[in-house]
Amino acid sequence: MRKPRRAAVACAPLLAVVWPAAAEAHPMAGVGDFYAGMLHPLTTVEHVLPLAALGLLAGQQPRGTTLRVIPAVPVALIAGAALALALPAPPDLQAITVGSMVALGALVALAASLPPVVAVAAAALPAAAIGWANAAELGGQVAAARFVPGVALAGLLVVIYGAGCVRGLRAPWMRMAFRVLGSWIAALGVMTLGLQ
Amino acid sequence: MTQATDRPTGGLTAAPLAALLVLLLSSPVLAHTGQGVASGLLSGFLHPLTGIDHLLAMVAVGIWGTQLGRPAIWLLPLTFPLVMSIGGVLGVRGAPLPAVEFAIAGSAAALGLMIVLAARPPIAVAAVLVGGFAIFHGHAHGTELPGAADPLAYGAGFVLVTGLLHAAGIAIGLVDRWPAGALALRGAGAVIGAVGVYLLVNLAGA
Repeated sequence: MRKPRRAAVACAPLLAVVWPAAAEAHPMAGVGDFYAGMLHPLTTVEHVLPLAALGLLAGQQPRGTTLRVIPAVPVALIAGAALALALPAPPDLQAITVGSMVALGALVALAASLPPVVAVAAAALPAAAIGWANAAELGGQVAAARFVPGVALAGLLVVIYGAGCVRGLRAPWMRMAFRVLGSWIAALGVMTLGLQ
Repeated sequence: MTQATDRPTGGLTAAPLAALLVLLLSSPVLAHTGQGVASGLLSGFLHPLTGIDHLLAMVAVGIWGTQLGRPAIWLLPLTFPLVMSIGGVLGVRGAPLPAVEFAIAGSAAALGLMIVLAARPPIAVAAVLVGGFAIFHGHAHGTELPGAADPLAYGAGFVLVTGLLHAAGIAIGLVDRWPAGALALRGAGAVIGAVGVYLLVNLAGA
């Protein structure tokens, strides 16, 4: 019984990061570029919730798939950021990030088991959009070489926490609680889409 | 017997999570940085709790879920937030929906009746009934969005607290496994139904 309890404690940072952050937008004056990069996706609701859903979804997959999805996330975040630095912003990134909140949340709610390729694609597309959106907001004085790795690390940590929580807490009602969490994320996505 | 031995460990796992939840939910309210977000979350949180019709109907949904048993008890907290969020968007947008107050008081009356009868209709029927109510409840919350509040934070607040009310109903409904408990549940259903009917009569009179 020790292991699930430890996993429960491990979940705390994830939630602690997610919720207060959602309330206070962009508190990043006075921190270095790397930490600004870490904070930026964590303090944006439509970035942190898809990443959290991604982590839960990764944890619901068989071990091999989980281990493929997790590294795909920072890679896609960096790739998206690189695209943003090279190209002008596409018309509507928010449609992708908020849409992925709905889609990923719904997949978590369904506890859908995905083929590895599909799971990696489902992780890479929203992660690339999130990386792109973060880098697109880079101000003049912030060094991309420090900001973007911060974004990637934050994304990686959120996904690892999410997947770790799901894989660690295997009681049937806990598995259900994670699915309900997915449903809440999707519901928030629906409201974000509808209210903007 | 296995269930009895499972229970305490589940509680142990739940305790830190519950403490955490309390901590988390309080922190955005204390942080005065985003007034619209903080007040939106708080008022969204309080709205379903301060209306007796919402409160009773949502607890009733949880209780009925336990009476219905396995698929329904899980289907409910999974689908309700999604349907409700659609209703919430309609409400915030000001989309007209007829007789919302009647539907909500009626939902308390109808769900109370279902609990009294310990009715077990096919799962699809139960889902449509509860899902229909979810639209109306979401719409009512959305319509009463306070002017200063951030709509998304408000929506998050009422979705989360509705989920917690379902959980409360499910927790109450756990007594269904004992004959006396099952009887007590049906009595509770009668009370909920009676309050629902009283509210309906009041609405009709007003």
